[in-house]
Amino acid sequence: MDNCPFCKIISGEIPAKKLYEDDSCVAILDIYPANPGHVLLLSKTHHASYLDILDPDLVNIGVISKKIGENVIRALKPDGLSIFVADGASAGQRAPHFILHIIPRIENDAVPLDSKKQAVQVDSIFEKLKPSLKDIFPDMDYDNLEKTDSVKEELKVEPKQEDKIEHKQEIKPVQEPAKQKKEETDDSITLDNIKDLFG
Amino acid sequence: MDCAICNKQGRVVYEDAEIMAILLSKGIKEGHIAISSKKHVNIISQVGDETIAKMYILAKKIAGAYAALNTSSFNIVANNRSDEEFHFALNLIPRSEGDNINFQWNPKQIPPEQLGQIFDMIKAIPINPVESKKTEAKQAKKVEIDADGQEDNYMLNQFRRVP
Repeated sequence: MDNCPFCKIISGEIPAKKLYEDDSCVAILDIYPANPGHVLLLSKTHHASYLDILDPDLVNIGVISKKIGENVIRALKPDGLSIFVADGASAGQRAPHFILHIIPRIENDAVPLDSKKQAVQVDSIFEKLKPSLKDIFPDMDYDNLEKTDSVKEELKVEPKQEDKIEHKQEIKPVQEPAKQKKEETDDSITLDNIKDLFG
Repeated sequence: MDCAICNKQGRVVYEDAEIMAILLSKGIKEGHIAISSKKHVNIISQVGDETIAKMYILAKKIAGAYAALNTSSFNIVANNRSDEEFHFALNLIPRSEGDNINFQWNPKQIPPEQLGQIFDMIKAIPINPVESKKTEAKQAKKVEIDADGQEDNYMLNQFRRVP
């Protein structure tokens, strides 16, 4: 995109400290980092949103995020490592270009990526999500999946091993519906055919 | 082990032989979904390349469903911790204006020389080749055999404290 500073970094028009580059992504060192060694992994093609990145590119970006994270650890020996994506204005996204942040962590560094967890509503949220989830994962049988939390908590009974195995067998592989979709969008990857990309 | 993800504390959004997504009953916010390997691991290096790729694709698929919560904004946060109970996950968190969640850090000013040094240190290490199915299995075996002093172990120890 013409006015995107990150596209200009990728093209070389704006100089940057490029650590890595391939067909789907470019990694640069952030010059205003959360901590020294903060790496920005950018999609090579201009996309504002994670949701717009084509599946094969996202597969590569995912793997490269791991490889670069490992190298940051080897090189800088931080106390920890965080990965962060902000997608949308209310999520704090400021850049017009997709960025995956790889942030080495230092003890007491005040980088607020360790928010406290608290008890939150689940059932009402799940009901809202369910129609979309059924479209995305047609083979997941949500109505017959056990309500793991509330039920187990109430009964305070550990599930028997046999129950667990039965439960596993009920879940069918997510395959056919995704294949049908493949004709419409050629780039789409199912969770099952990802393995074809890994020799 | 007292792991909220392994115990599926919440509702199962997706599950297959390798990975799963759980809508957590104890989360950063309503709608917080943890996407993880089924195998309980502490850091990203212990997750195979193919599995990590699947997790990212699954995050994309599920984030599309957040429209049902009247938002299209979300964060992905993944921390690494060597704490045995910690389960490495891509945490998918739906966001809306004024939700009182703050992931914003204060950017640091780094002198150009220091930036250059850091760049050289990271750049000096070649990127590991992408694991094929075979090498992944081999590596898993190797780590098991040489549990002492292996790199995975080193990385685990490295993360003893933070975040």
